[in-house]
Amino acid sequence: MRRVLRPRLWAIAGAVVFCLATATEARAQSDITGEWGPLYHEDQPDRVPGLGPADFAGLPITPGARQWALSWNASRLSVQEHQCQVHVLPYILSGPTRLRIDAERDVNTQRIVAFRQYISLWGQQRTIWVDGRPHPSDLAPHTWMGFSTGRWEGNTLVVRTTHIKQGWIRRNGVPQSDRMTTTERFTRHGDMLTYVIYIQDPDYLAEPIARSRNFARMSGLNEGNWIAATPCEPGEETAGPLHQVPHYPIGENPFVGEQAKQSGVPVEALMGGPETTYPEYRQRLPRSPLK
Amino acid sequence: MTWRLSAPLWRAVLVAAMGVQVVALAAQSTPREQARLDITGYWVSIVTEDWHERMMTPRHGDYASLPLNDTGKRAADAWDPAKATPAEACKPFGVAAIMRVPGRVHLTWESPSILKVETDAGLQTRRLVFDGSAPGRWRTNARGELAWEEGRPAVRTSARPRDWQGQSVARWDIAPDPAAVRTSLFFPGGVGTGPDGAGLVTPGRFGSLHVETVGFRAGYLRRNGVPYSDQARVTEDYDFRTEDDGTRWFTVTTVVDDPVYLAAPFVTSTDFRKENDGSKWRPLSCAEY
Repeated sequence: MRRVLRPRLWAIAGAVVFCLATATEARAQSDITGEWGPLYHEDQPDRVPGLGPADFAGLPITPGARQWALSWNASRLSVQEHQCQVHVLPYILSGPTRLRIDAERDVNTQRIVAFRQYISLWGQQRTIWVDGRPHPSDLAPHTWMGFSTGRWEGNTLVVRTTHIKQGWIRRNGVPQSDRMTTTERFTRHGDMLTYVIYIQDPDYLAEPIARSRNFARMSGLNEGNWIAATPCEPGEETAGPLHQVPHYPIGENPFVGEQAKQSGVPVEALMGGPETTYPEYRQRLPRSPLK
Repeated sequence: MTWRLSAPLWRAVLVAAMGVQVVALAAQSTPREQARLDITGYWVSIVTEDWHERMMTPRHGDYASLPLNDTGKRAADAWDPAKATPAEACKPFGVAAIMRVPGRVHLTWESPSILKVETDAGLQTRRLVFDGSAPGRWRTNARGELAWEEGRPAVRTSARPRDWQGQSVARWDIAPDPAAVRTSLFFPGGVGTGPDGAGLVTPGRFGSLHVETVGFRAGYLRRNGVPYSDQARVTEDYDFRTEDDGTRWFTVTTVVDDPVYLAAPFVTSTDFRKENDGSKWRPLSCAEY
């Protein structure tokens, strides 16, 4: 009996070791839960503090979106109805925010049914359902964060979001319609989380936008270092007529040309459009350093 | 009696199982064959991020958002384009910056284990060599800072002179196909990232192309003379995808770690879209760009 068992055990052990040694495909990571802090090494002026007025360069917007943005007046943010307007989903993870991701499990099956995200900017919370439920009817209410469902593609969590309220894709007033949809991808590379959002808007974008951001895992002193959410309380801030919405009539935005004058970027480039996002557009720009 | 009779059967099962593994490994023996999709062809960088900094030359001394240390700031402040020599024309096209330069890249397999990356901007050529190494990775240290954790030595610099693109080693970080893992003889519950309990999973093989590069000449992170040194290390992860409108993209996450000029790793991610052909390929030398 011992003489038979011993070779068999060796054989089994050898097979297990062999299979473990060859299971190289399994080394990538997929646990995206935890606390993540943003890195602002790219697009920083656009994110914090935000680009100046009438600068839409690099956005593939439609003429309608451009007109909408040119009519936008920053004083609008002081109107009571707009004071608590938060960054909508396509923009909020570009802003000055931290991100916490938790998994929610079904108490009976212990399978993950959703990922909960807490976004520190304006204390926003969103749910990404990964249990296969469908998106609601087009007539369902729209929210700042929209309705999200997710699925895994390898180690990447792919999130589809609809039902987002009207907002902006650049905080200087470039609009986003409530028909916008997004596809986000959360991919972990070691202790970094690469976040890619693909934005489609049939009303205001001539071509989709792909944006990518990076977050670093928070640990040590940074872990748990969160600013308490502060509820927004609208109040009277302006001396103008009640409920008046500040805006610029067509052709009267005073900031058009201002940055061109200051920086040397041509006005037509600052007005955006899909052509400004392609490398060949560079041939239409001055080669000397910006002023 | 039962034990003695089953021994040959055990051996046969084990040999067969190991044979399956060997055949499976042999079937994907080269990096080119391990690619889950055809990544070759022409790709264009869509410049929706850092537009001012990438499409134009930023003003002298503008290094906002770059984690330069004092030495790096002094070097950037000392930049003087009037004193630049023709030999320095390719400094903005070095490996630490080239994927951020607006342009197109052409991916081809030079051999079954070398992926060639050519750029029309600056006429640069990179060779990503798959050599089976296991590089280190970025970790957050106790102070909450991103720091490099050494793995097995990945990049072996040869004696050849440094050039702008350095020496790159690559590997695929492929996640296990959940469908295959579920039916695995030895891992019926899934290995590592298995789908059980994690929510909906799309069948298929997905993953990243991981690249590490050292041994290059010093260059510029930005065209306005923001420097990186020849002691830097560049780590990249390429993630390929197909959007629901049918367009194909990849995002390359680039980490530059430079002990000379940077106080912290410099991290960017850049998006490229697949093009139908090379008709828009517009080769420009460093000086012409």
